[in-house]
Amino acid sequence: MRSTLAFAVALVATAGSAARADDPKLAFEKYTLPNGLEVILAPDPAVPLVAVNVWYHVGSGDEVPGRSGFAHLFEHMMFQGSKNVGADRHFEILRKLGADEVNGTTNSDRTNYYEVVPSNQLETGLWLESDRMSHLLDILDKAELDNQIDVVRNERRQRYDNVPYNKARFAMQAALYPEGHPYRYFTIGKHEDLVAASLDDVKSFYRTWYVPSNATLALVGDFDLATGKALVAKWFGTLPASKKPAVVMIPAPVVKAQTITVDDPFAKLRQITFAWHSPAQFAPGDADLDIVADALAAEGTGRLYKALIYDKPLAQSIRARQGGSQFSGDFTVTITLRSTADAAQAQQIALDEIAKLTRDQLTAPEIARVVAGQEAGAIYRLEGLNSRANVLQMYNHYLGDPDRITFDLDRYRKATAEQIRATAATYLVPAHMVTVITNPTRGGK
Amino acid sequence: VNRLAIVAVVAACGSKPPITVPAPPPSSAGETPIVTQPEPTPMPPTTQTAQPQDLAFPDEDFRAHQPAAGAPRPFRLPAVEPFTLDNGIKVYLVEQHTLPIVSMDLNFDGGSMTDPKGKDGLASVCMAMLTEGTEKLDKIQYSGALADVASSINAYAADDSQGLGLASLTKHLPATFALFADTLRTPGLRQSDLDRMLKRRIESVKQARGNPTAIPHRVSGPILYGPNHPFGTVVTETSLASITLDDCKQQLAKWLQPNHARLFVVGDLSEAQLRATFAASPLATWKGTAPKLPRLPAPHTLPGRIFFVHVPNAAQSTVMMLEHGPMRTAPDYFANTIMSSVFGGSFTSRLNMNLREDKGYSYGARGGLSYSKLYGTLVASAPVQADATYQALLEISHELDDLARGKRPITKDELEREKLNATLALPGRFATAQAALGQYRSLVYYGLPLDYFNTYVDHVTKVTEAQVKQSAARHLRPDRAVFLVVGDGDAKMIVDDPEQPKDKRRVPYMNHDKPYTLREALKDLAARGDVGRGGLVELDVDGNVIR
Repeated sequence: MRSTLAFAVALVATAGSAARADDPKLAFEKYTLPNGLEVILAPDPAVPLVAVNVWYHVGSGDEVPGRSGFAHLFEHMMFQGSKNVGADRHFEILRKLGADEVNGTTNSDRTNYYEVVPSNQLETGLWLESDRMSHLLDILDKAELDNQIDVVRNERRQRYDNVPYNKARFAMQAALYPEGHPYRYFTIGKHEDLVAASLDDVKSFYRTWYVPSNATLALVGDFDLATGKALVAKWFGTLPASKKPAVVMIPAPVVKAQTITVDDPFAKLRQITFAWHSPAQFAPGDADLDIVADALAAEGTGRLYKALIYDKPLAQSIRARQGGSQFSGDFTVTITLRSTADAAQAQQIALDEIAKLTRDQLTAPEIARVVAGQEAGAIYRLEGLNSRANVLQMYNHYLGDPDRITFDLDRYRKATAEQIRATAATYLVPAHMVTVITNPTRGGK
Repeated sequence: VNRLAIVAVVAACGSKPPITVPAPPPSSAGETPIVTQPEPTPMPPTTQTAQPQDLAFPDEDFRAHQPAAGAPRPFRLPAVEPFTLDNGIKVYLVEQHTLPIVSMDLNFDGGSMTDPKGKDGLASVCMAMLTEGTEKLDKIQYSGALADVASSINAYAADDSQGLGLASLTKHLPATFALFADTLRTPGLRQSDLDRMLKRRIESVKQARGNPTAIPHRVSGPILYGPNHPFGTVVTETSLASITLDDCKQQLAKWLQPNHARLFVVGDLSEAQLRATFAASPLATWKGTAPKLPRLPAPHTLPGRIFFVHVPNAAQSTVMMLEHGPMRTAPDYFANTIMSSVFGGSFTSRLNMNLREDKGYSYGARGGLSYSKLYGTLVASAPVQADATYQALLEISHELDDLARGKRPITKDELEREKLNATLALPGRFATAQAALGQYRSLVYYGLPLDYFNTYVDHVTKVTEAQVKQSAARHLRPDRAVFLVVGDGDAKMIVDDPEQPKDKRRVPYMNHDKPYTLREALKDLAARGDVGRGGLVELDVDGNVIR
């Protein structure tokens, strides 16, 4: 074991210092307007397009009980129109420009909005974003809200309610997070909370969280720095100063070991999920558990893949994932069983493999593969302009600095086998493990 | 691991100052799991400290109107220079040297249209067998060798082609290409790997039958092409179980031949480097020619007008409209594209504006013309909430009728919008080298010239309102359209009452004194013939007619 450790450290040290020179470097300038709006400008004239990308530092983690799903419902309202743009014109205007990637997304931590426009239309992108940052409430309309509540409820039906094994995901989340915790109902929220959303909620949420000082605007693509700055000043510089809203960090509770069984009419194969609370995004241990997840479940090389799919015909598929959000994370291992499999045997093998990770160190190649994958991923994420904007925004949101690619990769390069084992031993413990079993049921009424 | 350290990290960055301190990590005490505990005790409701701020936003005159566009920057399409290797592989290379990455796709004729009857799924299974390992490396070693260099090799079978692709960092291309060559020329093809794959695919078929959103894809082929056409077959337990290792060896030997194969390459690599890479590999001596693809029989849409698959408990139904349409190479292609975009091609299309933004029945509805090399199809599709299934089918039918029969012909604004989009979005379709190669690849697939885009803007600009109207009349054929509904037949239906105020327009669809169920409503609709004659046909999840 001693020699393995020494080797691992040496390998990481050489690979680390050699690779750092290779790390992709993004040229950008970040500054803050007097009103508090953060701006990230990253000119690149390669193609005549610009990604206009705004992150508001609010997500479903900032919701209050009884209004689950509201941050995402609000995101939909941001596309319904603002005073100067007009009602229902956002998509049409951008379609006539030949814009691409026109969308928005919400997660527990932040909400983003973006469009990739031809560079000679950059100003229209800024017009659209500044108008919904300042004049959204002027033309707010009950019929539009009612319509978007229907649309979001259908989004939930399409992406959650009508999908096999999602009952288990909701059950797991409810076991990890008690009533009152904003992670309990995922970002999509509960149907009854969505129905209860009012125009007053929209107004209050906008005035609380969508203030200029709680947003970051990134422009990536074909513009020169001076022009970019002048246009940002024109469209955003006169917006009023605001106080940056404080985020209330809500701790994850300590969870006792428990087993939950869920009947699912859309599932045809039995599925077992093991779940634990785990570190938040970028917190110590987050990268370690990414490495553990890969060592368990990567196709071919994963220990559970080998044990349950390759060596024994027990599992149909294996997934393991460290999911770090801003307040806390969850580590999950999901095993979908073959119809003929002995569930108890599969479960025992899986738990033995997980326990082994808390006792014995991973091998050097298991760790090096994740480092290689992370280094490659950092490069692939830079292919598209909007993807690059989201990379800058992501590091800025979580770490306060868009330029954190090397810091991020170092988390993996510097992870030692002993540190990874210790992290696994801290979090992946039987006493706090939530087990969710999906039982296929016949669908007939 | 100390949770307090987390707080320090987050606080130091200043982006989101934390207010409360997270709980300590769970202890690692070795207690044994306790079965079925109550869920965590409710927490006191969170009190958010952030409050609404009353801000006075400026409203300068310049905000009132959309800003004028600047002068467009000229855009040169990335070049593709085809060349042919000695063994007949035709190479399409788009170079990019900003990122140190290379991807390749070696594409052959073949695919699922060549699967013998009764062995549906053969091409897909055989191609997937390639990445189960090589003669030298078993599955585990093979996966490890790829993961060590963060590369991927993926095999696929489409309807009318099959192939093998790779993605690699430039610095790891030698190692990745060596594995790629072995995957192609000396695959492992072990019986144990085939047995495992077939059993897992049989389980996947079982699972697909229970998945409300997988079923429409399963049964739309049999409906549109008929069960005797290669595009109308369905992979089943029986067809998978009949596949042998010899079948795969023959399939691969027949179709994976270099002469006339197409290699699409994008990335940090020159023609000389690519030729040298091939010359130094086992592919240097690889020779051979595959047969021509077989001619296919004419498709025969299943008799019937409304096809229904019952999925108990489905929270939503999928409603589809299907018919055959013009080919990609049709002379009126540009007018067809504009027409198709207006019908269902984008967020702003008629289908989406109706079913999502007006009625709120769906998270999104799309439709329009799509193409393969041999066929064109017209499909509209929307997942809709269960109770609105019947009304959504009527809406799709109305949108088709209104555009086809000129009741609501294409407007000047719609024409303008879609023509502008088609031309101005062109740089975006070439924004990355990968995207550019995708465009050229599509030209090769349809047999169109590689300089096609030189005249593209000109063609789009010349499309007239009359041509688009003619396209709608010619290709949107309500008489040939059939409908597929996959949903809960017992769900109770509503209808839209346009006379009511906006929030009361959904009214129960009453059959005398009780609401129609979906199954009853479809039966009734089919009998009335409002969306065409031919009746209601109920299918099972494999596309077989039940009644």
